[in-house]
Amino acid sequence: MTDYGWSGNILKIDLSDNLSKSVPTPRDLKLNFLGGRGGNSKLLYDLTDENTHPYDAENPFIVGTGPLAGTFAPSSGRYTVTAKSPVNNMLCDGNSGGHFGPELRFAGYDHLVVTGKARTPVYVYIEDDNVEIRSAEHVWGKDIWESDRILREETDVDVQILLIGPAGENLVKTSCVINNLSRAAGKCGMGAVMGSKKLKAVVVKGTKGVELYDPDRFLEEALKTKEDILNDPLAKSLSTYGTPALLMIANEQGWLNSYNSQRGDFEHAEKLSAEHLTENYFIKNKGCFMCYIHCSHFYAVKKGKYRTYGEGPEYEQTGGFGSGCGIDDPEAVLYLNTLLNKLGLDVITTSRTVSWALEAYEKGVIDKETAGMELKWGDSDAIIELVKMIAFREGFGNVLADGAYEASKKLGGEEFVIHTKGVLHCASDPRGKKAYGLGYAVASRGGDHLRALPTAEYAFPPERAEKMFGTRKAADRFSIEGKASLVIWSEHVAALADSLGICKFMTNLIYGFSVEHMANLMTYATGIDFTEERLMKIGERIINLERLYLVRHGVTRKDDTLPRRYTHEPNPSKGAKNQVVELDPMLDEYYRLRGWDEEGRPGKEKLDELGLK
Amino acid sequence: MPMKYILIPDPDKCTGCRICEMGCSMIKTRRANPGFSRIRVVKIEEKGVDYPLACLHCEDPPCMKSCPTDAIIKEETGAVVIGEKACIGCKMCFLACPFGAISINDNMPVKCDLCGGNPFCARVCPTDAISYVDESVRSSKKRLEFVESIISRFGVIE
Repeated sequence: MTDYGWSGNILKIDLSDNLSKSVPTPRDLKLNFLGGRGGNSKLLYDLTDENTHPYDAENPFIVGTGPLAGTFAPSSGRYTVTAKSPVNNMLCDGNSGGHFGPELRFAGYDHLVVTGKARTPVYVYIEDDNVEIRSAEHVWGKDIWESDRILREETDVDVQILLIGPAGENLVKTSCVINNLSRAAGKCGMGAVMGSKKLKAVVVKGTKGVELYDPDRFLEEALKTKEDILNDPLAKSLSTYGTPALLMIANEQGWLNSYNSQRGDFEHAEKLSAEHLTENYFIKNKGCFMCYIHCSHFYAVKKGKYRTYGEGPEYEQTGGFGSGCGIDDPEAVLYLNTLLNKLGLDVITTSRTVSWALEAYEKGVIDKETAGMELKWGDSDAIIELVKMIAFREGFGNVLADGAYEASKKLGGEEFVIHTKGVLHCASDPRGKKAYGLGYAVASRGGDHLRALPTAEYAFPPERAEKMFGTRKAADRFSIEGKASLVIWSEHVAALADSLGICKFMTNLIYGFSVEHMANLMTYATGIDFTEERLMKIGERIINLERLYLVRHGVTRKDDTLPRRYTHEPNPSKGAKNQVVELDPMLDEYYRLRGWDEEGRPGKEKLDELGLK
Repeated sequence: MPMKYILIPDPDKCTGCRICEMGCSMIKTRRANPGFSRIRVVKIEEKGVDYPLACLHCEDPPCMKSCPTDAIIKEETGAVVIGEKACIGCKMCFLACPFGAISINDNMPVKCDLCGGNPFCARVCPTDAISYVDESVRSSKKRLEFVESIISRFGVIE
């Protein structure tokens, strides 16, 4: 029977036994969790428990695509990787664009589940039904770009490759997995999980494509969705500049990560601005699979000591390694971007670790003897050196390779580790936008802005905020009113985007890819009647399942927290002067609206309603 | 004489999103499969190169000359098309094309037919990296762009 929409198969690979088999995707997983992140979380929930260690053979490395991934739906190039997190031993995943996810679907798979451990380095080669576990000894130790080139040469020019670099191989906890050279599934050390399995890469070639139930209406709906995306007020800016455009806005509004978030503005912000980068370094726009917005760029620094080229950067790079580490030289920031992609390091958690170390050095928590070098704000060359030391676990880099949270437990300076549940925050300071604060505190993968991506708090007009969240103040970035409701809605929409395989920039930043479009596209793709209401219930189920997983690991209200800096130190910057995040009242309201108890545990009634136990 | 329209790729504008491939696949086969597309984006990722490549509808098409059953014809519009009825699937055209612009779908050769004069790939491309234009208009525009780029040397108006 043709499985419309879904590919219908999960590919299971055991590296210890050198075995692979394809099994049908369970009906419950498809209908109640969709696929992608939702399906991955469900698989992780069933396959592991609190006794599973992240580097155990039993810890599954799960890849999920989503029923809209690889279709004609706009921005349908996403996939999610999930495993128990080396950072906090709980749920973790990373999401990436490019072209890998669609290719896995074209090969006929909704999910890939890799368990076991290889004795020597391997890579997995998938060509539709043909699955081989091959030696990767010849690429182990090589950087991502070189490995990609070699694997492409020995397989096929048209393959898509997901792989790790030296950072993942060396079990660095700020390592990521990369596809298409520069597309990263970043947070929580997913690269280290692959490294622990001696799995260098997954190489895929798919020729089957995706079968749609009603292709004509799907096509029509996809084109309507495109129009709504392109008509969004933010579409033009995102198309032209990409996320780097956020830097000057953040600077003005006082929520830029500057000097490890000691400030919300940066005195040299202009030099890192999107306008400056576009004029001097961007060659052309780059887009992920099926994306009309193409927010990425190919850039080149053509001369000087930071001569480099590559794809990116995101705001998280210019805000993380730029203002976050006090670097005002855009050429060094671009150089670091390429370097991180080659080494397989996550921009957010690596830059936060480095900026923590810089602050620790400034405050005398770390001295020159401990670090083996001087650590100064804005010292690009030293920071580049430090990044390499982290990837190879050399010297002081070996301590930082476990991330700022663990490093602080050894060295001190815990109070300025910008984290929640051990996972380091991005470059947005919630003292300038309060919903972000709540979002970080409750995110199921630890301190993370993308679980909610609650940009509605500044993107929505007050009228729309009132209609959806009960108060006009929900659209006031300094207010805490209505933020619980706004975050809950945003979390459900984001969970749907992640689980369908589409980019949440189209659903939670640009709002053109509405839940209504998702429902229509799903109906035409699968032949099953999906409504907005039904989808939102699935979003809620995914959030609650992930919460149950955290509760199983002992998470309570005490863990749903923010760094002291955000709750007690008034923001010194003009755009958000004297603001702190009043987390507790938002948290109370959030738990209540979710049907969770005062410790943040989902109540029986809610679980029954969602069919969870 | 009819105007001659051609499909022109612009790699400087191409972002590599492959909407053209997926659009072509949907329109021609009602399936989502880039392998079925008549246009393919050639990528050299490390160098940032994205090049949308489809049949160039040659004046003296090697595919047409190689076809033993005369299944390939050049239409009045300039489009080079494979007549499905006469095609025996020998794939000589696939071998003859110097650009790799002929693909194999379900064992039969397929190629761009310019969608009968309104190519879907050009319509859905978000950056005009694929344009379907009158040859003569295109060259006039190119001449103008060139002169504009060097105008400052003439010292007329800044």
